[in-house]
Parts: sequence; C-alpha cells; structure tokens
Amino acid sequence: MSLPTVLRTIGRGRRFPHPFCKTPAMVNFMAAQSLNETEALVRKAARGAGWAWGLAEEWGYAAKWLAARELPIFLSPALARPALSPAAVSNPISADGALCPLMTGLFLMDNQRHFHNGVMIKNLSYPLLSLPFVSLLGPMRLQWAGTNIAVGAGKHWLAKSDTLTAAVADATILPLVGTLPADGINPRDCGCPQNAEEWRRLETLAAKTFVAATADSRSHGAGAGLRDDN
Amino acid sequence: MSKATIPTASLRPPSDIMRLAVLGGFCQTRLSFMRVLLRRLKKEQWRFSRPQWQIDAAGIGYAVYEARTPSRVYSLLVFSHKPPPLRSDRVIAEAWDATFTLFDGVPTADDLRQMAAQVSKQEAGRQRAQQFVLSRANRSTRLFAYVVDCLANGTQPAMARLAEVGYLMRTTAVYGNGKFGLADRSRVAARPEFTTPFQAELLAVWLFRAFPIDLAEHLAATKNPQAVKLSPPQRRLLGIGNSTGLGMAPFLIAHPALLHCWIAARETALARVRALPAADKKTEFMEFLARAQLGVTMWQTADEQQQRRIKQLSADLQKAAQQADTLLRQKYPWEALHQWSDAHLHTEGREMLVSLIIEPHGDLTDDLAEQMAFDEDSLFVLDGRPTVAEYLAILRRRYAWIWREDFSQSAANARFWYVSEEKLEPRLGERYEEAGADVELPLSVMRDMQFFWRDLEGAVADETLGGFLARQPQYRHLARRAQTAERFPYGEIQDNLISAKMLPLDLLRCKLSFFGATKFDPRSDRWLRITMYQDAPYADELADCAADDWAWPPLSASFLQNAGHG
Repeated sequence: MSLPTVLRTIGRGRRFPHPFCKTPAMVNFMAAQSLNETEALVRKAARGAGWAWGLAEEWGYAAKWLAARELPIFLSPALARPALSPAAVSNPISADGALCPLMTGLFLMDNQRHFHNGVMIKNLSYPLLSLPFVSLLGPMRLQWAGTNIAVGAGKHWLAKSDTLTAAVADATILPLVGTLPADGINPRDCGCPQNAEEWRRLETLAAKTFVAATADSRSHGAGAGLRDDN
Repeated sequence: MSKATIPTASLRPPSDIMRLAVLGGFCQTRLSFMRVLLRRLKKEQWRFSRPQWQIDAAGIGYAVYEARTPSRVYSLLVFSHKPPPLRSDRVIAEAWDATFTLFDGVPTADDLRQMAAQVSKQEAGRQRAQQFVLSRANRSTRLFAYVVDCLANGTQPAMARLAEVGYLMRTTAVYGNGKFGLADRSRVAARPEFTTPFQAELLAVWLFRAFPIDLAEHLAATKNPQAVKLSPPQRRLLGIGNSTGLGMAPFLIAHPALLHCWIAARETALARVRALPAADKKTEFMEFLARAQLGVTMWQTADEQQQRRIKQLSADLQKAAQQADTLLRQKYPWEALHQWSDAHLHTEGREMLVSLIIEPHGDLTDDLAEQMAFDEDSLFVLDGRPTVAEYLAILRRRYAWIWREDFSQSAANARFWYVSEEKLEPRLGERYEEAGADVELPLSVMRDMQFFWRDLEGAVADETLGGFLARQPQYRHLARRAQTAERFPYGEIQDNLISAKMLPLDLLRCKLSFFGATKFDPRSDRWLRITMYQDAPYADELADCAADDWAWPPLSASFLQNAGHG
C-alpha cells in the first residue's frame, strides 16, 4: 500500500457525525452488528418504548440470543404492543388479547414444572421472540404455521421457514424426545448483519433514553474541561 | 500444594471492604491485569517485531507492531495523524494524534486500507470482528517536543522531567467488547491469553507504548541525522498516560459477579499470606516497602485533596516501616502487620500495605488471577421459583446495609446517572437542577432495593417470585441482583451512588487499580489522569529482564525523589 494512498485515506483522523445522533443514520450493514451492540441497543430501545429496565434487560438478552444464532430480531413491533401475560397456568395458555412473547416466555420459565410435557399457546404475537426463554425449559420444539424450530443442548435446528417473523400465531411447544440429531447449529461468538430498517427503528426508540447535552451538562456532567492541552 | 489445601485466614467481610472510600483507596497488586499480562508474555516467550514503519518526515503515516504467541499472531496497527490544532481528552473530541487497533492476525494491504479509514474515525467508524481493540492517543504537549529536541541535539532528556510527566502520549478511551463492531468478548475470551479480563485492551496499550518513543526518535532523526535514540533508563520512565472519566464508572455496578471475583481474588491473596506462620519474605517485603515509599514521593497531582492523602500515605508508610521489623517477628507476622495497619493507618495506607504484603508472595497467590474472569451470561436467567419469603431472607442477609440511607432526604437523592445523547456515554446529573431523571439508569441500587424490599414485605409470603414479578416487573433487575448477591457477596458496593457527596472518582480508582494503573492524578471529582506501564519493560527487553518487577520504582531511582516538586 503506497504511502500517498495511506495518507490520502487517513487525512486528519477526523471524526464524522455519530450514526446514532445525526439523521439519517447511515450504518454500514456490510459489517455485522456485534452481540454487545445488539444487546445494548435493544435494551435501550425497550426502555425507550416504555418498558421497565428490568424487562428491557430481558429484551436485550433475547435479542442477543437470537443474533448469536443468526435468527431475525424483528422486535420493534413487539416492543410497541402491550405486555400481556398469560392469565393462568392452563393448556392451552391464553389471555384476553395477543400474548406478549417476552411475558409469555418468562411465565413459562417461572411455571416450568407445569409444562414439562409441552403446551399450546393461543394468539402469541411474534412467537420467535419467545424462543430464547423456551430454550431454558430443556430440549423443546417450538412450532407455528410454517415454522418448526427445535432447541436443545445449546444448539438449534431450523427447517426452512418463511414465517419466522410472523406477527401472531397459535404456537405449540413440545419436548424433544430421544437423542438429539447431530446437525444442530451452535451459537456464534459474534453478531450478524441486521435489517437496516429495523435497526433504525430501534435506534429511534433508544434515542428516547438519551439526555440532550446542554452547556452546563457538558461542562460538569463528565468532568474534564473542554480544552486539555498538556 | 492444591488450591483446596492452602491455609487461608478468614476474608475481610464485604461490609468492611465494599465501601466507596475503601475501594477508592485501592492501588495495584500482583493480580492487576497489566501485571498478569506481562507475566504471561514472558512465560510463554512471545516474540515481538515491527514489520511496518511507514511514517513520513512530518510524522504522518502508519506502523504495524506484531506480537507472536506460541500459536498465533496479533498486530497493532497505528495510524499517525497530522497533529490536531485543539487537543481534547473528552470523548466528544474529533481528532487525535494517533489512532490504533489490535488486529487478529497479519493484515493484508486491503485490511490496512480499510482499517485506515475506519480506525481514524474512531466511534463514527465501523470496525470488524477481527479487530479486538480500538483506541486513540494524544501527545503530551509538555513533553513530546522537548524530547524530540533533546534527541535531535544528541542529548538525553532530563530524567526528572520524564518522571514528572510519565508519558509522551496518553490514550483517551480504549474500546473492546463489541463496541462499534469490534469482536465480542465471547470471541476474545475464548483465547486463553485473553480470558483474564481486559487482557486484549492492555496488550494493545503495552504494544502502543513503543510508538511514541519510535515517533519521537524518528522526528528527531528527520531534524538531524545525527540524532540519538532514547536510552533504556529514560525509556523506562515513560508509560502511556490515560484520561479516565465517567465512561467507566457504571461498570462496577453493572457487573456485580465480576466485581466480586476481582475483590475475592485480592482478599484471598491477602488471606493466604496472613495465614503464614512466619515471615520468610521479610527482607523482600522491606525492600518493596522502601520502593513504595519512593514511589509515593514521585506521585504528582495538582488536586489538593489528593495531595493531602498522599502526605498522609507517606506518613503512614513511614510508620509502617518503623513498626514492620517488630511486627514481623511475631507468630503469624503478616496477620499482626495487617491488624496493626487496620488500627493505625488511614484507608489508603492500609490498602497499599495490603498490596505490599501480597507482593513478595507471588508463588502463593499468582494462581488467583485465573479466578478473576467470569461468564456473567450464565447468571442472567432469573429463577422465579423461590418464594417471596425466601427472597426477603436473601435481602436481610445481603442488603441490610441499604437502610443506612433515608431517601426522602434530598441530599440522598441528589444525583442521577444517565446516557448522554451527544456521545452515548454515562454522565452524572444533578436531579434538582437538570432534566433527564425520567430516563435515569438503574444504578441507584441502594434506593431501588428499598422499594423492592418494602413491596416484598407487602406481598403474600408463599407467592412465588415469578408471580410477584409478573405483577411488579419493574423489580426484575433487582431480583437478579439479589440472586447474584447470594453467591457473590463482594458484588455490591454498599454505598449510595446517587448521593450529593458521592465521589465517582472512587469507582474509577477501584477499577483502574485492578487494571494496574498508577499515579492517580484527579482533575475533578469525576475524572483523572493515570499512567500505565511506567517502569515496565519494553518488548525488546522482556526476554532478558524481570517481567513483573515494575510496580514500584527501583531504589536506584531515588535521585528522582521529589522530581518536579517546588
């Protein structure tokens, strides 16, 4: 690489507008978003959408879980929906309206002793988003119209599907029996490229958790003087 | 001797140690991450080189420093820029003297081209999963030009001036862990050399330490082909400076399990030494104490409160030096010394003595570094099966301290933590003067646990936690903390982190002490300058000298005592 080329490229080491702060956000989707970025953004987006921090953390966890398995994070519509939990332990599980995948997932975990043999769930919105929690029940299959995913021993199995991001479905959870097939997919140690539109929607929500700077907050919020030349 | 059979005194209780004033008085120990790193580099005989030096006469261009482990290669890519007209250490800065990244492998020409563009943009660029660390540095205007001039004139710069500043360049942020597209910690920590926390970041800084020297020598040679190079004793006095502010402050609160592991390792190291029946290492200890005293005389700061603490520390170490001989003749001498320090010294003196007591006992304690990493993801899942009564019992066991503060008093509730829109960094705001408390970060554990406790008391005792949280989901993260606290009792800082008189500096100093930083130089209550790797060996020396004897200056440096004072 010739030095003139390098010098032209480097220039002054200038910083460009930050993708989160200036619109339009021009994040490069050729490079993947890291798991850490994914978790952090979704957690902040959930908070920005009005979820308590403790639940926002759960959304972040779910997003990271999915991203590590290259499963789509189609979350922003779910964040906008009510946090509807199952009414009671029953089979099928239901409520007065479309069930929130996060609240349902947490409900399944907290009551897992009732669900070892599986369960049906009526009217589950964005069912894929409950998978990170279903996976904590043990080797399980989660299915809804057009989609069939199995999880177990840290891996997952996914037959071809075009309803992964279905907005609502009746879902079934069934325990996996016998030896797990050998061709399960392991989670990766990195994130994956995310859908640009969805990422921007999440950024917009997350921005609600940031506090705009003022001259005052700049000077004493972080501490250092604006000029530091020694 | 297996770990299970090493005699250990009882660990100091969390209620004593996990206070901001104590944590803020910590200094580095053998278990600090920089020291763990250099011990490994030497033990595994890593090989270092500089395969690329493409810097022009004006100091602009790039360089590649290579580190070869027994099984792989890492490259530090450094991009050297035209000096910016206005330097700022703030995260909102827009230009730097140098930007750099730690790359996994040997970069191709395409890699270099691509990274040249992205690395120089820092937070605004997109980095790749083959990059483990991203950082940038500015020159010390006090020192850089002076050193270049001396070398160009064929002379060595004055040791006293080098010691006073301690660095030619300082970093202003060192990023890892998936930020801006960098490799996630799950990838980094899978490498045995990077399992201990922050090893990749600290390797990047150590490799970078050579660059300002190389650059200064290069610029001197450009001025005058007869210029000399910096000689080894001068070079050793230069570390890498760093400005640390609130960006790192929430870390200790957000990672209770990890904090516990760090503190427990340090306390266990101390407890193992305290259990020794005799002081076989007394001579070594006395020498380290003398070196620590020398180091304290070289500790510069403009901050008046810190100056007072340093004076006090100096007096404390002198008392310790006078008493040590007698105390160390007793049975269980280190226990005697430690108990004496607890009764007679201020916090900073006592904690420095902790470090000194551990210092000569590396073969007894260095293995504890392996216990300082922890996969926190494994703790995330909240078990909703315990009852409300069982959770209240946990709170009574682990969180009785929260009732020390009355949050109806405005001073108790005076601040709030938030994320700034401008740079997505944590900030500390004044609740009654600024907007933004509605999106306060959940770092006010003491206050929020009070609400959780009260509402648990109001619930039915045999309701499951899951049932309770389904009705009151705003407590989920606190329930998680309580679940963690049972296993990790050193995980909570038992102080009010939003009080009017809370010093964020204490959080920063604690974390930085685990890094191995020295020369804490507070510039306000919430940011400070430090030095990293001052007196440490360079890559070309590592094979031939001690890797880990640099935490305290050598006694031969006594001529630098009070360097820069008055």
